[in-house]
Amino acid sequence: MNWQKLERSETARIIDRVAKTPDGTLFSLATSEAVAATLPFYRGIMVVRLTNYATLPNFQLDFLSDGQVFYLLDGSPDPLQKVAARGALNLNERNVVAYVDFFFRHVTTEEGDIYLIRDPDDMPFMDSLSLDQQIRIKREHTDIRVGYNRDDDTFAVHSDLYFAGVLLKATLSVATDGEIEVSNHSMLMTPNGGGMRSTGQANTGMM
Amino acid sequence: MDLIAKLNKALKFGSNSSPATLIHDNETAILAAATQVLNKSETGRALLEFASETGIRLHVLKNKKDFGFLPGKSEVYISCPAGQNMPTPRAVIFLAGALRQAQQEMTDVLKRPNAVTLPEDAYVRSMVAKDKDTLFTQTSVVYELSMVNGLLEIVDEFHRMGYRSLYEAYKEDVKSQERAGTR
Repeated sequence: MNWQKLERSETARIIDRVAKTPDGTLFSLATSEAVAATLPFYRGIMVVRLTNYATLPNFQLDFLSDGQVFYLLDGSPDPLQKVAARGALNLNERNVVAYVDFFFRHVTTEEGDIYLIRDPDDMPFMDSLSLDQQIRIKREHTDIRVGYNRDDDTFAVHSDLYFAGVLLKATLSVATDGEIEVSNHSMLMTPNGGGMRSTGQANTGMM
Repeated sequence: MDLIAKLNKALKFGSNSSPATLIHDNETAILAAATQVLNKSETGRALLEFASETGIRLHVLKNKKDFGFLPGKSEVYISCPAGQNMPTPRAVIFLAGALRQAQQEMTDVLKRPNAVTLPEDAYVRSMVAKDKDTLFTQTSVVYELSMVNGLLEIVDEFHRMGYRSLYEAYKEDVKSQERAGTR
């Protein structure tokens, strides 16, 4: 991400906005810094990162913002939904993978984080696996493919995912409002290291 | 519910809508559960006793990463994703780390160095020592919770945080100390 440091006055304004909540005393201008970066799938929305250097260790919070309203990236899909509902999301076949990656970096589940595997050598969870499992992931990995379905106006992202100790090949159906659904999955590796246990091509759907 | 159904439930829009505050809506429940788990570890219990004796306040923020201690306010912050009402294993590890950072600062054991007065290399050494000490404390807590209490999911989470080799080394070290009768 190409972070740009914001002016002190802009940082002050952001802290002021954040500090308007009754509990917003975590950040102060004297000890905090704000940086921002553009995202290829948003119009008029940036990701803003506020770092407090007074905490031990340094503490960071990320927000989506148009400069006026700040949506805390709180680990749920809620802020992404709110930004998309404002019409700021502009998905296409070139940027949908970046969107999915961003989504999974900022949304988590009770079972843990979800990883879109773009490059197995660049995944933070690899150290948690045995050497055999690491080799298996690299051997099974295929490049991400993207398609557009005109019938229901969705993007299909065919990719490898790592979730709750399970390596999956799956199709991610990404709606133009940004909602993601996982379907057509097959398990490549289970938490105990078992390999190639296909579960068929069932669309498990939503709740 | 199978794994993919759980995943899709978590990804679904509209599944969580919480007030726009930094503090977690379920802070009380999360802290109660996290401190209960931490209390099961000898190291964690000592940290909680320290927090109680020194009046450190604990807070949970809606976030999926990070923890910290704010010295000026004697407040510890841990993170837990919005919508969750139980602490993740990571939140418990964060709590141990944040409390150790507080202990370092308040007992002058590994106080934050002054970046203005200290030469750069000495400053870096001090900061690295603080981080290593915090990580060692977290490793002890994870080990004690898994070996004594059988909470294996906290080990899985520690591995996913990138500390598999560190944890294994710690475990081997404890074993060798036990063999030598020094523990």
